[in-house]
Amino acid sequence: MARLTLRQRLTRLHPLVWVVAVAAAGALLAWPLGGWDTVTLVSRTLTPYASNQVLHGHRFDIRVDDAWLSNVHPAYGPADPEDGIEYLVVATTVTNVTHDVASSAELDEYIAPVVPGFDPHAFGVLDYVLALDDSTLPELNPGLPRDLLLVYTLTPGLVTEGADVRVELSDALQRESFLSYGTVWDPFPVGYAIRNVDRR
Amino acid sequence: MSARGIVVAAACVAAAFGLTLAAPGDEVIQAPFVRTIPALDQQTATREITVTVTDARLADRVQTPEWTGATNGVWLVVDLEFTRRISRGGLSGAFRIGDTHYRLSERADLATLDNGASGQPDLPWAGSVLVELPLSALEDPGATHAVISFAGTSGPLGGGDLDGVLEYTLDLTSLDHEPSITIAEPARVPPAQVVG
Repeated sequence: MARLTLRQRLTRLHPLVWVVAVAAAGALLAWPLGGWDTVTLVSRTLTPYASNQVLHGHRFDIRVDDAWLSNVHPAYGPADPEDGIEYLVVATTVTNVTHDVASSAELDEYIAPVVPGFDPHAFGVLDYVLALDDSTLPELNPGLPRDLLLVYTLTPGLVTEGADVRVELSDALQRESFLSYGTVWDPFPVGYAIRNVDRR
Repeated sequence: MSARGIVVAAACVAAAFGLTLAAPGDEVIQAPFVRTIPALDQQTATREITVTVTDARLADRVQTPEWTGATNGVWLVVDLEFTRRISRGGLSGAFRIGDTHYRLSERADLATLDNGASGQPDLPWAGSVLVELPLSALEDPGATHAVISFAGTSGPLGGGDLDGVLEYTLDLTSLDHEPSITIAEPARVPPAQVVG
């Protein structure tokens, strides 16, 4: 009997073998990338949150209590009139509901006012002030509720007294990091709070 | 390619996967070297630091000359002495109850040992570190064997790896719980007064 070449052997394989082989190769590729379940569908419907309602997230419980304009920074005192700035203060209560430490500096991805002409994620525009003692950038230890003032430095006039300000709220899901060992959080918007701002 | 060759190739692939699964991950490879502080007032050393825990208490409020620390939870105040052994620098720390991890508080700024002290080798410092905990932490089943850890600022708790960590186990349920504690700012310890 004539010896079959490799090409002939491959062409004689059952189609099901090819299907299994392709699936196995795909699984091998997907494994280091986190497996098949890396995409989680989330609702596009954003829920409004009143001042007495808590967003129960996977990482943080968040309540937006109040918001106001001020010329006085809660931690650093009055702004110099020559600097041409004012502050939008968003009072929140935040609880880290995980078992891991977190920093208040991470909250900008979870709480963000929507003000035309203002980027709340820009460098240096946001300070996190603990209402208890006006210290800044407190750690968010698991289970400990924090009354935090998120202080945004604005150009005067971007927000007017008596206006409604929309604050977008996000939740997050945890996944394995692609770049190193450990996990990372992927935030996604789930709700919003509208607060009428006065001046204090 | 013969059937035997295919079997051998498949076996090699399977063996490679087996080895991959059996190999320790980065987290294990880079785990710190842990030494246990056996009891209060016993000096214990890593390559980089020595630490002596001198007291541990709970408080509803912590006071320094310039700061009053109210809390929605409870303070864990740990008094200790530390010495750098081979290079100048500071102390870093962490706290855990079971699998829940807590960060040492920086609210008191430089009034705590992990923020306000940076020692030269062989010159001991004394002071306190603070952990702000939720009240529920005291009822955690792991509260009887909570662990506070210390390392140099360039060590495993400060972003580095592959170095020593000192751990001291606390029973939070047996600690004195005081309405208010005043802590002293970090200070150098005269050699004659060194504990441990």
